[in-house]
Amino acid sequence: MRHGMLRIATVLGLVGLATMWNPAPVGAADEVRIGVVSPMTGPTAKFGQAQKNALTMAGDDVNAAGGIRSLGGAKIKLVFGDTRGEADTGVTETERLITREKVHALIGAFQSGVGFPSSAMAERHQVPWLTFGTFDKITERGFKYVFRAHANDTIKARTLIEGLVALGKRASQSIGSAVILAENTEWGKSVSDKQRGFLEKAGVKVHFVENYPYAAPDLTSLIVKAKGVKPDLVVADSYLGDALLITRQMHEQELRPVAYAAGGGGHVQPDFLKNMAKLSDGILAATMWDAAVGKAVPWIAKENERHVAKFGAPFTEDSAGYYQAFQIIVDALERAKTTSARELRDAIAATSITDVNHKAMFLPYKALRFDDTGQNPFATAMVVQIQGGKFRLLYPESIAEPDARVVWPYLATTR
Amino acid sequence: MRGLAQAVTSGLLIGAVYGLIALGLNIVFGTMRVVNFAQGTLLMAGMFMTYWLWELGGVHPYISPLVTAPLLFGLGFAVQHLFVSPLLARERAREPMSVLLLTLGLALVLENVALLFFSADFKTVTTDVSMQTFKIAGLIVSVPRLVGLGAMVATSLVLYLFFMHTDLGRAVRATGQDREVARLMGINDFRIYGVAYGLSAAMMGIAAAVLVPFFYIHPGVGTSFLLKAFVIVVLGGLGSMPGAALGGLLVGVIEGAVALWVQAAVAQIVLFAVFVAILFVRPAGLLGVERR
Amino acid sequence: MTRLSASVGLALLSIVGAALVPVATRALIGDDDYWLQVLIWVMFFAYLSAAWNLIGGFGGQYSIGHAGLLGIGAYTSSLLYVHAGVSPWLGMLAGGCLAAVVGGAIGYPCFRLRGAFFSLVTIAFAEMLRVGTELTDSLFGLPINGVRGFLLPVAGSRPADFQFVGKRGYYYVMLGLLVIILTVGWLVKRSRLGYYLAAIRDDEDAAAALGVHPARAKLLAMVLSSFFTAVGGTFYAQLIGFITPTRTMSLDFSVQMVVMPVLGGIGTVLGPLWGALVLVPIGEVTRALWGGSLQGVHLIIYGALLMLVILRWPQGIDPWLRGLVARRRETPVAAQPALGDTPLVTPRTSPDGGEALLRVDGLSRSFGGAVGVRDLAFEVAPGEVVGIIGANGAGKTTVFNLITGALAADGGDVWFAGRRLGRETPDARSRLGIARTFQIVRPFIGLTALENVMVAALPRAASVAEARREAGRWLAFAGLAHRAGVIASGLSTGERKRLELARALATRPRLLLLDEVTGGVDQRSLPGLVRLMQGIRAEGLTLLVIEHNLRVVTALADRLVVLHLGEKIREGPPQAVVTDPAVVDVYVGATVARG
Repeated sequence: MRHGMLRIATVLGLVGLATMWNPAPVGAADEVRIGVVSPMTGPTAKFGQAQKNALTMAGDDVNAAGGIRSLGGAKIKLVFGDTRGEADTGVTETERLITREKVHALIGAFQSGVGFPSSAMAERHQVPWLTFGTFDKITERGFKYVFRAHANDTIKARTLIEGLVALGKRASQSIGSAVILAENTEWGKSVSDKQRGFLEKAGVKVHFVENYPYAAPDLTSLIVKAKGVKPDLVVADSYLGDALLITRQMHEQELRPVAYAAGGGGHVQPDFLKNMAKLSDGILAATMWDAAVGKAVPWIAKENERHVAKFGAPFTEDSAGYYQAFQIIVDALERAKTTSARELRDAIAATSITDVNHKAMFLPYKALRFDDTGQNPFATAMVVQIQGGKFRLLYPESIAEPDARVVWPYLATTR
Repeated sequence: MRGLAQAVTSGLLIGAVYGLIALGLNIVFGTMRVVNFAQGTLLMAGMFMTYWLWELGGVHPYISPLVTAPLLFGLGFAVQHLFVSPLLARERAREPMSVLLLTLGLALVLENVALLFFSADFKTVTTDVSMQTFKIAGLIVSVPRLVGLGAMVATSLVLYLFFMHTDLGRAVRATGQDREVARLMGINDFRIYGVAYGLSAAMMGIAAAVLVPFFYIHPGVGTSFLLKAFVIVVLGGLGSMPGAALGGLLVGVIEGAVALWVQAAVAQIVLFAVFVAILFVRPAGLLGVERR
Repeated sequence: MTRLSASVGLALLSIVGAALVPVATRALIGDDDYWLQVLIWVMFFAYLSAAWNLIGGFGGQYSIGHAGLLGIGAYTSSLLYVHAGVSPWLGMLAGGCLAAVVGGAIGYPCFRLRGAFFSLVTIAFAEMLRVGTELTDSLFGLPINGVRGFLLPVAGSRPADFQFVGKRGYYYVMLGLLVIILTVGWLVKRSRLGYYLAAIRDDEDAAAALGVHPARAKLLAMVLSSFFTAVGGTFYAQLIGFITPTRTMSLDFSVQMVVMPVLGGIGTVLGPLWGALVLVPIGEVTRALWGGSLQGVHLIIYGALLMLVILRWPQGIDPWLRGLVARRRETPVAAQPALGDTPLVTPRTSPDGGEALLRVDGLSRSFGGAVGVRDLAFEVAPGEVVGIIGANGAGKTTVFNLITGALAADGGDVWFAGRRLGRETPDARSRLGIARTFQIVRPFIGLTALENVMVAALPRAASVAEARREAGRWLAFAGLAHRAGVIASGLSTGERKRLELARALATRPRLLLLDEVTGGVDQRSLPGLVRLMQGIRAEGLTLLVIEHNLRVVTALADRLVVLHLGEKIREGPPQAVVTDPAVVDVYVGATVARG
């Protein structure tokens, strides 16, 4: 019996030791570590990779220029964590980056559903977190360490609708009715609700909003239903696969609204353009950033060209957002003159940038400040239109491409 | 009314594609009682093969089964031989749980290997027929899906004849009914299983050829079809080829109609409810002959 | 005594030791929150797997929809907390009870679906629940946000409301829950329910024939499993602070709850813990090492491990660990009272003064076109031994199946002890006093000889210990006392036949149906077996015996009934029947004539 007990104890002890694998973290004293929380694997891995590219370029730039001057030239070290697109993994990764990798600030997490609890983790540990994620509530929890420089769902939805109305006026077209087709995910539901609200406020009759199952193989019935109410405007909030399906099936079922708009997501992916050719002509979309903004702000175009040269692809909407977040942190570090969490946080909160040539204005706004919820009240989105396989930036006027005109209606070229 | 007619028409067409996949599943699940959770990933493999043939060789998807079907057959045969047969040999139950878990593990591996090598990007193939439509009596019919309907009808006919009127087909059915007895009667069950599983996998090559022109290719694409295929096989009647075909059409129509009247997401619930109901009310399914 | 305390001691030590692993690790890693988090995940999944194991491993019903129950728990406690201010500690119990009701209500009718079909149905229900919840924005006027997910307020340190700052609080709660579920598993395993479940898992019909109520046993397991799974859901909600139907009720989650126990050892107490200890760190390590560069590697490993385990080590890790630590001993059971000490069988009494114990009247059953039994009638008086003989296919086993209720009659009646048996199930009839052995023996393969007989004795025993004593006596009576500790799969055919008999006897039947006991037994074992049957007869038990071996049956029986093609053609004292020309013609002559 005792022999057996000894054996059990040995086995259990070995198991216990095995779970102890715990390589000590290496943290140089004079470097600044910024944690990046992204989906590096899983279905949205492509986005994570784009974000990594953008940040790597930004980080290398800062380090090549001498690092953080006010910290004696301290170099930036980016530490990447993988959320796999899942909330619990995001939370665990955030914790790992904070407690083991000892990062001084974090950027994350792309999916709002992941960023939401993960930023709460950062708040718990009192480490500054720059959000990339549009879910309104991320900055509505009374947190002190969570910030968002870019537009949230409400702003994006408002921009889209106001833009549609304004562009419609320019083309002497009016939109009387609409349907909204959104995927049945957190993002789709949230965005579509807001869009409905703004449409109704603008006097547009919303016949119905349907949240269809993500990745369905066939959406004919949905399109038929939409066709039945003869809407002037069809708004779609989908990721790439469904965006392709909806667009194709609208064509098949001969649903040709006056305007076809997207809340973002799949419709603004380069792959959408690649696969949709003519059918994409005239689609309007809300986005937080498009390369065309470089026409109004030259340094952004140059930066984009460098990115293309380095990685073979331009910035994406989200990688641009991550880039902006990074620049804000760098700016704050310079002002804080320390990496201590509390003071860094205060420096971020005190951010006030109005110079359009500042690197943090990669997503250009009237100003970059944070209100007491941590949201930038000056953040805006923009409306682009796909014309001839390219995105043309049309709204708001301050950053619109000077030589771009809105093309109306949808599929005007093929009618 | 026109809306309903259109929804039903489109439902029939997509249902035909479901039916094709269900036919494949029916071969292993319906006749051999192998609960094949890897059916979806085999479809995915077929779709990737079809995609690469198009991208690298310019081979039109509708011709690709000439290559993909034999390849998949081999893959299916190998899987059966290496993994499933040893299990079936030692299990007494008719549909052993271990086989379900094994194929589940296989599906995990296949899907994530594809993810590793091909990344999560959506790939599409646009061919001449991809977006063609024509009208019959004012109803819009999508050409690639019509092709799918044709393929499904032809395949179910061929399979029906195979299973009912050939020795090999009958041997497969016998093995499904009672493995022990079949073995005692001299049927080399391992080889039979291999053929059946290979056939089931080869069928995914045909389904892939039909799907690729109008559906995106992605490592996770099989999962969405898998559960539906199970519903169809049970609805139509395990082992019945016409049943799987009919079941597919029915599921497509139900989906389309419910999506029109209520909401597409509700259609999912309805289908699962139908599945549960069938298992309790009429376990043999619509056209099944099996009595428990 | 020694074996009992050894196993108790081993089990207790294993649980304590297993619980010590996280504690020890925790002590060594100090306050490193990251590793604490990993440890919490390990324990969380171990907990869920152990809860699943109650119905999956012990009950043999592989639910792949348990995430639905998890979701019920998470949402119930969260809704109660946010909208009614109920502390999640209480909400946890409410959620558990709700899940228990739902799980039981859905599981009970579904148990009659065979293995894989049951699994598919559970997937269907979980998916319906998930999609339904995604589509529901408010429930009874209370917002739950459907697919957008439900938020729990982050309010700092509120232990009374199941909220802690930092990981330590959650760690201790999870540790406590883990110890509880492992203990529950252990208690179930060695309880009456545990034996029933083990028997049902091995052979449901044989268990029913012994008077075990399969559906009820599984229902209890399902209710327990559902309750504890839901409690885990509350923990998840409190830990993450944000629940969505898409993740909480996902198929992925359900699959994880299945894969870990399978890997660790299905149906064992500690298996789920081993499974979680192996798989969760793999996920962590692959992400930490290759975070970003290699996609989905951990899932490939999961899938490959699953396949490997199923193919090569279907019993999982646990038996292998046990093999390292203990040896299975063939412990002789403690001294049994001698044969003559207590009456082993119900004494020879007549129920109503001479009336037949068993009466079969106009009994008929066909299978499609083939006649099984037609218009059969005979009686068996209490204490009598009646033999049924006939060529193969004459309908003998069909008669047994009709009497025990395994088959439903097309026409006619079966009367037992003056009571007409209508729709009583086999287990009900067993409880009335009808026992049978099977033509092809059906021992509970995974249980020892002793445990096999215990299952039969349990329905009538006041405690597990008493059942064990009873079982020991019956084993001794059947001459198997020295093989008590041997797993049934290790017994020879002759031994299995004896076991079958001991098992049937342990149900204290009034009528025992013996189906070809001597079939397939070698010449050497035959005399011993016959002596056993004579011993049973000598005790005055009423027997109905199907036998091919005419010498055995003529020696044993008071009367013979001859069946041919489903009909009775002759009945009477053995010698008269066997020499009757009509019988000879049909039984023996047919072959001779053809030959």
